[in-house]
Amino acid sequence: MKPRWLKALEAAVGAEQVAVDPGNRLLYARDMMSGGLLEQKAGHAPSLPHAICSPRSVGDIRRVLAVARRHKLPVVPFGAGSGVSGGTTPVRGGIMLDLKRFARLGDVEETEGRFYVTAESGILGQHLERDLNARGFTLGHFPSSMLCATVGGYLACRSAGQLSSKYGKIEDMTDAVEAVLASGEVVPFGGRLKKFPQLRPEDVLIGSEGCLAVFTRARFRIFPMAPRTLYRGVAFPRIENALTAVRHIMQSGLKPAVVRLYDPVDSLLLKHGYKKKKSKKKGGSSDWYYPLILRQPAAVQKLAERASSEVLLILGFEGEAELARSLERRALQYAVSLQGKDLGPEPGLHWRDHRYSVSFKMPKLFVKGCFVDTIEVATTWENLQALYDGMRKALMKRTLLLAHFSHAYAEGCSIYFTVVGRCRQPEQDLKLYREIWDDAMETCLGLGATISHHHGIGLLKGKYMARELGGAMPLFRELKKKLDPLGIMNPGKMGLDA
Amino acid sequence: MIDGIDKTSLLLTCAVDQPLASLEKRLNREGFTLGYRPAKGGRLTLRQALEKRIPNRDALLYGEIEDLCVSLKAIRKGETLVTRNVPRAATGPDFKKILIGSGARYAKIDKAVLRIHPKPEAREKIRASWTAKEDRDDFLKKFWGSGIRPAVFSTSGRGASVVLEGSREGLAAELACLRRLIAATKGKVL
Repeated sequence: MKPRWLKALEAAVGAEQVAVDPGNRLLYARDMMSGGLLEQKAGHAPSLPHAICSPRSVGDIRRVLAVARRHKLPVVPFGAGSGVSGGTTPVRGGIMLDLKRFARLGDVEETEGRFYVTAESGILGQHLERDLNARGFTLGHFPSSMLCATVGGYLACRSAGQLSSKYGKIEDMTDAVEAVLASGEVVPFGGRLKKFPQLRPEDVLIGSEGCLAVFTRARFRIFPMAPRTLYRGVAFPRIENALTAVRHIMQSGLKPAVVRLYDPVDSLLLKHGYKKKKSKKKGGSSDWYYPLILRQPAAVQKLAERASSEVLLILGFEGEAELARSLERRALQYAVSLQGKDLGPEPGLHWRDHRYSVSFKMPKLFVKGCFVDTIEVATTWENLQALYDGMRKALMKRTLLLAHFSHAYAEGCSIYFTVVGRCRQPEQDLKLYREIWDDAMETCLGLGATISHHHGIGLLKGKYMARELGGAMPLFRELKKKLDPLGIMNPGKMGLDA
Repeated sequence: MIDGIDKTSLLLTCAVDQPLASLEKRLNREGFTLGYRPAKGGRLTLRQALEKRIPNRDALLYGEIEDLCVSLKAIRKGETLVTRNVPRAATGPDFKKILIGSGARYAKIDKAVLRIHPKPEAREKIRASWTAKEDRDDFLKKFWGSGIRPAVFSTSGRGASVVLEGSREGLAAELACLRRLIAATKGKVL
């Protein structure tokens, strides 16, 4: 970092809040995007930030932005680095604005018989939920990254949690946001954007991935914790039956808290998990499938699918005990009418107990020479089977492909694909990885689906944004140009620079 | 007037220059409802509802107009702008929400794809009151944790009013639950 930049930053917020050492700069160079790890394995030089700044107040943020404007330095808002799309990669260096010191949670407020809480943007999802639970409340937001994701990250990427079918995505829970624009202008709760007074700041800023503003606080609608949660597993002979059952359940207004339908291969793995638990076998050595995957991912896929076409649906209902039982009974009626077989609560309880562990299995596969990534797309029910089939056709040739359908709505559903691939050389891995993403995104766009349901765009999917948004892309660029005329906010992301 | 009803995804595609009342009537004939009940619904067109983001009285159950609208076709600076017809996305801000409620300042809305719902079989309103504020507060916590999904919920003083609607079976289960909660918190159904 140039001495005059550093001097200006230190003068603005204090030397103790600025880090420029090589270790810190390397730590902030990438998020959890698989491609970033593959690039690192292949020996590519990372994009390093010039400095990491940890503001303590809105005033600090405004002063950092003033320095950035003066010296035309990029600013990348940073929560905990759990993103998987390279959204915080400092592609042009600059200042990483680490917001973890914004970690205060306000009191629960009651307004017109409903409950709200204000949370600062740097609070970790896990801590927010823990502190709300201690007061008898929940946000209802449980992304699998919640152990290492912040509220600001939730808002930036329009995240979704495992109970989204009941509670919605983060934008549904958000009543108001407070943010600082590139100009230093603070947009308070209930305030307006001076340049776009007709628009609600929440509509413009949520999902903008640090390209338009820095979130500092949000006011969320929260719910008292449900006294009872019931889980159920249902097996279906074919995926088509199960999808019809899920659609009927969602359209009947039953609002399950959990809806997760695993495709045949993913169902096999899940069943292996809870049967292992039942037989009380322990230890990592039971991960017998890793060596098979390593040898021939595509062959494993074919073998598994020939073994069984059965799929597993996990349902969860929350609420007052008797009402939850009534909802569950009605959902099971739909399932049974479509040849579903009630497996009792055990598969659901197993899922509940292991719902955050899947992400932590991924590094094992990387260590063993594979690469893994997840692709979350969404479409309407009418189009869902075509999207599932199209993505399989595009991706299964060279990889092991698992899928589950979660985040179900009355009008459609998200499909969450997990891709496992392997080449012999890191550069080949990287090439295959990029080809997989190209194939997936082309297929998705061609079928009228969305390229992201809840992971966001970041660096990874930026080049597809013009096609994803179509005629709305010029409007996005107009927002960017007027709210960030110098282009200092998280440059190189979301296809805005193209 | 109506371009099509996708009965698999429960979506209606239509032009926006038509009265909401006639849209609702047409949907009712097909066994559906829009679930959008603004205060002056009979006289409003869909365009007015979208451009002015007019609140829905039954928003707790069905959502506001921006939630009911899945995608839009609009004209902006002579170009056609079509937002993607998907349930949800994480691809930047929700541009559909940006256009709704901003008059015709950024684009003129031409067509909309709206969520539709099975026509409810029954609707019930329950009012209750509590002598002690603590009991009413206890009710609020139990109510919002119960899984009941009201169409309307309001409070005044130590009273609360709840409107429920849906299938007969669903409504019966929610009503029974509501009565249990009122009784458990020492409330009185009015």
